[in-house]
Amino acid sequence: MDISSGILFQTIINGIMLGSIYAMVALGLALIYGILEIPNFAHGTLYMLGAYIAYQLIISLGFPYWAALFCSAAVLFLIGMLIERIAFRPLYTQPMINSFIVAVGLILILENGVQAVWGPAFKRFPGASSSVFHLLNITITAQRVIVIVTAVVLIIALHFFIRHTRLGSAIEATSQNRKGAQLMGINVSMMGGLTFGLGTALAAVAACLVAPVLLIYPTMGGPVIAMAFVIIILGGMGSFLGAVVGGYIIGLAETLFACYVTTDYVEALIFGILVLVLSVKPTGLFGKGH
Amino acid sequence: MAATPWGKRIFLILVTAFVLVAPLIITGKYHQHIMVMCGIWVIASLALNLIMGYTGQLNLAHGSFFGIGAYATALLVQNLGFSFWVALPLGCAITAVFGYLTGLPTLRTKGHYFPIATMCLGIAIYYVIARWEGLTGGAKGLFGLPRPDPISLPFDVTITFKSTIACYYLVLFFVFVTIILISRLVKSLAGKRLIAVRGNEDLAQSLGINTMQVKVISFTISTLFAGLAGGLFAAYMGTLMAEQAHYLLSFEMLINVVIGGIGTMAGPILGGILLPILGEILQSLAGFRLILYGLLLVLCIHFLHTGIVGGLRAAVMRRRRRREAL
Repeated sequence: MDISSGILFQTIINGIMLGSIYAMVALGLALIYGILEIPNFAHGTLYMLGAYIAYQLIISLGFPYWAALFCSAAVLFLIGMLIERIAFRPLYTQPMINSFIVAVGLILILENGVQAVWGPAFKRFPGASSSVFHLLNITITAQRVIVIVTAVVLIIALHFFIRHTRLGSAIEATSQNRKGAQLMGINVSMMGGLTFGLGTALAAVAACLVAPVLLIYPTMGGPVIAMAFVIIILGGMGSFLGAVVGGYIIGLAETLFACYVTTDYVEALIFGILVLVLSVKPTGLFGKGH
Repeated sequence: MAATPWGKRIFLILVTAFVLVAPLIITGKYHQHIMVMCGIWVIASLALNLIMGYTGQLNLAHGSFFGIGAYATALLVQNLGFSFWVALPLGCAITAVFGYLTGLPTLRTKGHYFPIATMCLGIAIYYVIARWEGLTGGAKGLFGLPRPDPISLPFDVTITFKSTIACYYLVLFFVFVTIILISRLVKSLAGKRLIAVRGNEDLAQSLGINTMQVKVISFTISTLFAGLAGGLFAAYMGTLMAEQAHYLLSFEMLINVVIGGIGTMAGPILGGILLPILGEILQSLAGFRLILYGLLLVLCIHFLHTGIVGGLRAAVMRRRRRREAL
């Protein structure tokens, strides 16, 4: 394989890895949006918090990687449920703008809280495996493969959970028709809390998976949440399939743009994609329409 | 339109008189600096309140439009040699055109798209400014910007802007201009349309209001004044960093409006004065200041979602009703 196609192949692998992360974060955001109809601007900061909790468990308490990932997901699940209960649930009957503002308040609290505890500097922790594969003339680290495989397994498991279990069907029903679900005896408030927890835990898993490849820092959620929102708008707000497909499209677009055009203006490109979607087809690829 | 009651009129005259003589009473250089900054935040917060408070559209990129205005004004002066008095209106116009162009696609859809799109926009603008070294100086920023050129008046009188006091009066002039223009707009028929869109967009549309046009106009005017605040900031401070377009700045302006009182004229003025002062008092707390602001924001929405001004109004109403009941 010659060098240029080697670079292309490597870029595509990186794009798929980034897409896996985006798909997980966007999926969590889409689930929460589907049930509660609030765009949770604090989702990116919760993603960041997940990485820091795993960091603390691995570095200070000597947890093995997978145990730390699991514990971080569990902690963020509880934090997500708590946030939904305390910060968002009392506002459901109020104008939407109030929920948005509360989410902004949560970003300030969490981002600066993490900065106060762990400091603003970049941190990193080791992944599940540090081995490296050589394939022809390209190199792939094992952690990247782990990110991709774990994401695919989790996404399929989540799809199975929503389609083929009673609890998952209840969540799906609530997102399709809240009143109807309530009339069928589903506890919609509990579904809201559970979904918020689930979506947040998913973001934590994504952050723990990617942290050994990239670095962690208190403002790492900012660019990711922007991408995640563009993804769920591209995919169609609240659509499961849309979040996954959109995640991989944006992940690949970002790495290809960064490799062949410039790394400086990736965020502007993403906003360009958003404007394009809003101008051409605001309901997104898999949206149900207004 | 009801005539302003006498009590309120006297109060407004007293406040105006106070802000006119304030720098003669408060002579400390540091305190005067804070007063200038308060003026700039008041302009920016009033502008944000127009789109967020009156039109009901949460703009999370307001700080970035402030940054665009600041950089546009500064670059026109520094790179093209324009006089400040030409650069400032041009800077505002550039910001407003940018606002108009981003408003067109993002305000087309109802509901959640606008806050989401503006959040993404805010992040994008910040990174573009922070990385476009050739134009904005990148992470180093811009420095050595001159203060506004002196104005020569007849009879050999010239006004220079070297001192903080002169800058205070310059900013104060624009604060008054902003208050008068925005309050006239809000009280006019066009203002009623804004409020109708906030209340129920579908209903407003069914009554024949072109809601898209109303939202875009409100957003464009809002960004124009954000640009004005940014341009004044650039000329006063003399240095600009990419942080002046950061989304944290948008959040701080949002806090000014929400804590002061969303959807009122007095709210953003009060918030734009009180919160920067609080910020200076809490400066030693560093990051904890923003944690506190976040908590304030959440608590305010839950327990006093009309802010200080709304809370005061409710208290006055209660007292009046009690007096009438007696």
